[in-house]
Amino acid sequence: MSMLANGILLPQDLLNSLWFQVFAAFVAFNTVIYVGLTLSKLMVWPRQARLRAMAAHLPTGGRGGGGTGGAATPPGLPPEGAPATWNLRTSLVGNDAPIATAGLGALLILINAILFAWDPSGPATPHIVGLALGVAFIGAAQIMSRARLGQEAMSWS
Amino acid sequence: MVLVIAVVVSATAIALAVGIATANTEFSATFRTVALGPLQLTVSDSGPSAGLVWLAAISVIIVALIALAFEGIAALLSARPRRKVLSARRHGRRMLPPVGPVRITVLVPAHNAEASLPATLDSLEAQTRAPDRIIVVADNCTDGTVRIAHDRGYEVFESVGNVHKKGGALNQVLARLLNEAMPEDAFLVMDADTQLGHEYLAIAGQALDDDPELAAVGGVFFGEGGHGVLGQFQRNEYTRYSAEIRRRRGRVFVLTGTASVFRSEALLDVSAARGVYIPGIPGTTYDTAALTEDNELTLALKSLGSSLISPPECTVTTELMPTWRDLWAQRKRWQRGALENLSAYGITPGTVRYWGQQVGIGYGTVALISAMALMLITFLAVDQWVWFPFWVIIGSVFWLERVITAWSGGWRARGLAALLIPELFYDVYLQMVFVACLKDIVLGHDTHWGHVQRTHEPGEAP
Repeated sequence: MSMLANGILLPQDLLNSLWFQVFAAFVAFNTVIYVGLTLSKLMVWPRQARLRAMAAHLPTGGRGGGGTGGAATPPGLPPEGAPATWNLRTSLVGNDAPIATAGLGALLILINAILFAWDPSGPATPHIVGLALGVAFIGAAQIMSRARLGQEAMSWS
Repeated sequence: MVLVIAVVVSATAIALAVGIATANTEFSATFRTVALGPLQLTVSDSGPSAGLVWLAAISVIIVALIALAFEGIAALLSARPRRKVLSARRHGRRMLPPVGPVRITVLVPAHNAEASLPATLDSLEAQTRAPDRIIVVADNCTDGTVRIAHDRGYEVFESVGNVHKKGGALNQVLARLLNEAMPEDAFLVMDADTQLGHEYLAIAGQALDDDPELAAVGGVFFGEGGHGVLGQFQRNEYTRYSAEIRRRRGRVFVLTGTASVFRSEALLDVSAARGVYIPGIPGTTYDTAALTEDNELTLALKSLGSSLISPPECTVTTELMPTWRDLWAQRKRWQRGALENLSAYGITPGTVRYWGQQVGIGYGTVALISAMALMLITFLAVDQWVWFPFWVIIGSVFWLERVITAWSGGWRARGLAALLIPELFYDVYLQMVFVACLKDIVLGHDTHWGHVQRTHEPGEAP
């Protein structure tokens, strides 16, 4: 990232030697991979599949069929009389849309960071706008995934 | 184990090949001076070649796809749980759906825990949903553990002739309890040095009530206060781990031994499967040959296709290691336990992800140590401070990630994360534990396990 000038314990020519260049490329390769993995680990995952809800849609059924006579529908399960598209629409609103938004944000950040690093002497403003937009997308994705928007959000989208 | 080493060495060889192919052989230090206000900065625009960045991006995608494949395998296992086959064949007791809300019995295995037991019992009394039964499982206690439990009016089960530590004591009490358990019974197994968050039982009970397929609910653990900088290192590590579990929506790697709730049916399936599908003595719940019984039980449940979750609200506060030596011993036990458990299970659909994790730790060790070596060599060989914009950005991303992921731990946590270098050395320390474990296993060394509060007499090999 940066280097410090002082007590030179090793000759500076070392930095130009072949083995050092190979070693530096090896570390650079690893580091870029770890940045990608670090960013990907910050993504919010979709909710876990509810097996009971899934089993109701399988031909063999779970055990004893769908409704076990509970009073209120537990969160994550379709309410009584819900349309057949309930699961799909809920997962679109609750999971897929936020993940896609966060992915777009991460991509924007990555692309702008790489482009900026490539040519730091060029105009910086477009990259800064791109980076800010990427952060905004990720922020929006966090809010979307936590707000548990209802299906109503889908009806106008 | 040899397999983990072989994969890590192969991955290193591939990365080195990439290094040789993309190394900038005509490197010459071309610097320019940039004025930033009153500062004159020496800047070098040289960064990695485009080929290297593309290869790295492709590698990230490959690693991400492998991780997704592991999740997919786990999901497929849960969709057709093997445990259903087992319980269908269980004599006399078919798996029935619970008829009412879950009934939680708390088991507190304790070995000479008179100092910490009162706080543990206090945390149980402060629950918003009271446990239905509490049993203190006193294992070879020579102090006041049994008296404290009796004085406070709790049931005590004293292990008899147990030489298998916590797992052995729990096996004794569970053999009795599971025999008369109903499908709606669940068991919270919690350490005597652990305190539950007030909502723990309410959330865990609700999760089990909501989803009859759910086999177990784990806690998300945080470190207790104190122990100076070493304590803060551990707290930051736990904070990050719990944040990761939260982002994964409770998809848990290991059901913590500090406090996890198991449905009685799930434990019965495990004991029925032992010696058949999974390692262990038939009929026992815990595999007493395992160094880390929580990790082993998670592998057992996962191998049987059980669905597990760790809701972020199920918080647990647990003890931290007060000295570097204790931390070394604790992590060596965890790490070696995890590796030995994986060896016992082999590569199966249920364990393939955990093998992948070990490879990840191994390669992470190679990557971090080589990066630190490169920085050190460069630091000692240059005669002026040079800024590389590409690496400044990459470094800033890492820095931001460290600070943001430790944010919820408070200002001390953020401050330590912002310093970056100390946490890097903490990571190296933990990686050295991994290296030491691999070395011990490969060379066939046996180790005796110490602990802050010894759970057993010294010399009693696991």
